[in-house]
Amino acid sequence: MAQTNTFSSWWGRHALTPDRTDFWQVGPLKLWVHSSPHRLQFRWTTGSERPGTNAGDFLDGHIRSVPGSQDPSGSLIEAPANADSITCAYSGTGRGDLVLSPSLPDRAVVVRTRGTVGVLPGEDVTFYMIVPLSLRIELQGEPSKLLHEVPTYRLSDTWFGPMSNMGSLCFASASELYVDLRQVPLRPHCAITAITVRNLGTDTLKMERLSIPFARLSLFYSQRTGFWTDRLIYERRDDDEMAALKLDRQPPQEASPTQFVTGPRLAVGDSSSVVRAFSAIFGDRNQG
Amino acid sequence: MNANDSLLTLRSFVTEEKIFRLISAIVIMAVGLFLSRRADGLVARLRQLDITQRTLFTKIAKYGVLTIAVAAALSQLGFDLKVILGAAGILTVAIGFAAQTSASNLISGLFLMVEKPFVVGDVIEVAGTKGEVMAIDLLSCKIRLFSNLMVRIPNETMVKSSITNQSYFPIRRFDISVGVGYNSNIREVRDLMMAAANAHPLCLNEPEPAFSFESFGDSSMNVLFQAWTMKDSVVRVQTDLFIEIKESFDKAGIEIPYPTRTLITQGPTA
Repeated sequence: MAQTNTFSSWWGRHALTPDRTDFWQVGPLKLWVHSSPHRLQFRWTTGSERPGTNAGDFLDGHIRSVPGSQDPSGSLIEAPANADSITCAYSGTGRGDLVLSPSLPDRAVVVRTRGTVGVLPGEDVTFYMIVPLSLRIELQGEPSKLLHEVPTYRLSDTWFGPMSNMGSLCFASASELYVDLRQVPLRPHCAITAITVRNLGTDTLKMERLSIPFARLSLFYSQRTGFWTDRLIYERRDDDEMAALKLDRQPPQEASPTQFVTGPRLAVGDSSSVVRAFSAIFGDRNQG
Repeated sequence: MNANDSLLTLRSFVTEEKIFRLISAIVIMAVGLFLSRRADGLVARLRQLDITQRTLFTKIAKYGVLTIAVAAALSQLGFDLKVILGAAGILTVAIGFAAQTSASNLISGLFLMVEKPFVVGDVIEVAGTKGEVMAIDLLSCKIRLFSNLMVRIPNETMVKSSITNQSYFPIRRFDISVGVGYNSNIREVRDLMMAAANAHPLCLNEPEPAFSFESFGDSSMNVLFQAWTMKDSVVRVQTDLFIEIKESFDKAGIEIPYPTRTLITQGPTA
């Protein structure tokens, strides 16, 4: 695996000090938090392909936590003028604990293969992809209060469906599908998803794109390889019209040992198997 | 007739039965009014109805309950409903002749509610008017223009006119037409426009943006760029792309020329 960083635990609890600005960098995301009595101000720049937005690179794996926004040389790390910002008013004194936690995208992510990939009949192939996480910022308490959620990298929007009036709004993956786990770039702000495609049909299954329902997946953490999601199994049946999506409800064997981080955003229901139209998973093969 | 006689006459007229009927009529009207006011809440519980249908059913329930209450109260007071209904029938025919337009609007309103070519909140363009639908009532539709003016359009006009609903589908395509100088590299023009669209997170990757060459114009080569975004983001994304494309053209030295005309002067012929 192409590891570029140690997985220092950027998530967790951080103590706030009144009238001080703390700085975090989580991959391409840069976050400034200024705490003062009755007021918490957040400023951030997130990764994006859009020019002129102080965009960070998708694969930028830097992790920094700088209390007081002062780097070791003593210079201040200042938020750029065009940083996004939000101010939360509250009854606190500026002290307290801020909880930063990772979360998966709230929409499905469409990942494209490099050209058309065929899965032979009777074969069972596992692909891997990475997806940038979002940062949930909560104020510790009983219950804890969600202050804001900001993506480490803003994925581009895309439409997934057979026609422009049928389908759903998704994110377009910045990652590709990897067949070899050793090629997967490990980044502390990304989660790895293992997708097993099982072709139970009698002919070759041709894939160009795949929709991954991240809102229905849980997140796990491995000290060795970082974040992982549940394993997904797509089972293409003989009739070619329907495909079963099964959630393994645990990361794959190669990720272990892992610890559970957070559950799915959307209820998965009692059944871990969802039968969906073929086009809802693999897209319409007649389309571009 | 002295005061005693008057009192006796009044007593013989105001019998216990009549007082009971009067109280019953008042109670019926009170219950009718109460129920008609609660109609909104009762209809709101029917979750499968959209806002337009809810408005219609609320009005039907409200006036229906009131009509029944008035009829029952009048009946309780001893009025003959047959006579009243007969008079109402004649009145209805007279009103019908006098209010043909209203009747047409009413029926058109019902068609609009059943067919649902748009719902409250949609942005539509009808008979040269473009705005957001505020209300679909029995007689007319109320449109809020983007200049915050309210336009009332009779339902008959809505049914007769062609309507463009800009909010019907979740995603929309927008077009950017531009003319570039004849000295420009058209492949570079295409690549810059594609890059601007690909870099914008709200511009959809699929359906893919399309670049097409339109014509060799008098002063420029005219190209058309088409990209997709969510229906609510069209103005924002289109504006962002205009800016990005103009800036990237300027950096690359691609000219968007003014109309030019070359004049060739000839000397006097001998």
